[in-house]
Amino acid sequence: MKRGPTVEGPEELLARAAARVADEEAQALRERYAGAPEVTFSPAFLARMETLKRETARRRARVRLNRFAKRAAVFVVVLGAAVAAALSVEGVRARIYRYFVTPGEEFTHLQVTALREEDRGRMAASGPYHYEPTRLPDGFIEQEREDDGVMFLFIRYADRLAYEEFLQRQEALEAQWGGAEKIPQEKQIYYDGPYILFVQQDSIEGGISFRTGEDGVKELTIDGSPAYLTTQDGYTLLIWDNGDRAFQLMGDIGEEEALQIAKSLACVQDG
Amino acid sequence: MRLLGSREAEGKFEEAYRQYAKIGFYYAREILHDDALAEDALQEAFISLARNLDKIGPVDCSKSFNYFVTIVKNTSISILRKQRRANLVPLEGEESLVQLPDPAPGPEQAALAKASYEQLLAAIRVLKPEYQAPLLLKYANGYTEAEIARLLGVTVSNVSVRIYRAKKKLIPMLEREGVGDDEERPNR
Repeated sequence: MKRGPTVEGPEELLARAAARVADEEAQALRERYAGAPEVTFSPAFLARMETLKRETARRRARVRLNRFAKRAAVFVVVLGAAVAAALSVEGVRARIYRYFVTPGEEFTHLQVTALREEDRGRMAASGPYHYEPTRLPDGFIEQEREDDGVMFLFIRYADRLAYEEFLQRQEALEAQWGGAEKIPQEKQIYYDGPYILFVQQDSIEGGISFRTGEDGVKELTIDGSPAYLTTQDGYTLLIWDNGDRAFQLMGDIGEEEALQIAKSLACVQDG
Repeated sequence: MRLLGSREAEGKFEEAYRQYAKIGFYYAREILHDDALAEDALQEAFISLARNLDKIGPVDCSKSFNYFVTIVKNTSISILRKQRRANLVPLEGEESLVQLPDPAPGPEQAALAKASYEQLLAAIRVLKPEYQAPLLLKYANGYTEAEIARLLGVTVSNVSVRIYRAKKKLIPMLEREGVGDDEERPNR
């Protein structure tokens, strides 16, 4: 029978052949050594492996914290508009701001700039109030908040059960070492369970680069304001403003949950 | 890609150690003929694995084990080469791509012209580890060249060159097998 047109190109063929060679080699090793006596490793090797195991766990904690910090810090406000709070949302956007979205395969850049040159460089007028979510997914509790008193407010929420478990482990460690400050660096632990981070800032002008999600970046509106949402592997980032302040919401939540949290913002007087 | 939590990462690493350490050690010793050096190679492989826990699949997945085997082999060969250099023993076929002596250019080209898929497999099997490892990591495991560079501890350009050379060796067989007689050959 005459062979029909082949759809497999050289790259696909190479991938198939490479996979087979790798499989063969691995299988041959399993057959050769699966029944071999257990290995008695040297104490030095075992100690190195134990260290590596601990470092692996610590590195994960650091990477997650770094990612958390980077995402929180990447929205850098450069300029503000003093009249923002006094004007309506539509008015603010129509007269002062312009949004530029530059999508990329890996990262997307969002730039918010003042339309008029004279509006640039003016710091936002911070009133004695802030916004914060009034609705959270079940099981999340406030873990910590930080207000720099100038521009940013961070509120971090954690999964209650995971956080309580972390606190118990932390307390046990403190009891064991006689205080938090006495716990050696290599024994310290960090909360790395599910979390949600809410960030408020006093101006919406600025730029942010964030990882483009599986489905790209969605442009939405929240109560009439532009919003940008991206989701990847159950991790969601939502950026929006309400004409007064700008917000970021990120964490181990889905798109719907993120939008519900965003819509639940309430203005809270400071103090 | 979701990052593993610390406990999850620790658990995955422990599982990989439990499943891979014995075979990895025997394989490294097979290459190095020395228990201490085999432990060194195994340690390097586990360091590489620890750095890339997010990228590899479940520990009991054959692809993950294949990746580990490739890394063990590569680190073992690297150690062996360092040892030989230290002992001033010249390496055989340093410039060639394959472990076995190359046939003369004329017969080789003739043989390649008759190449089959089996010959392609055979050609990949005898590639020297420094060429085979990046090729398998890229084509069997799907890593990018930047990731491979990190896994193998070499530069990205070095990885590119190695893959390019390996593919150059295999191209006649790929062309022969990969495209039907009636088909226009895709651009490479």
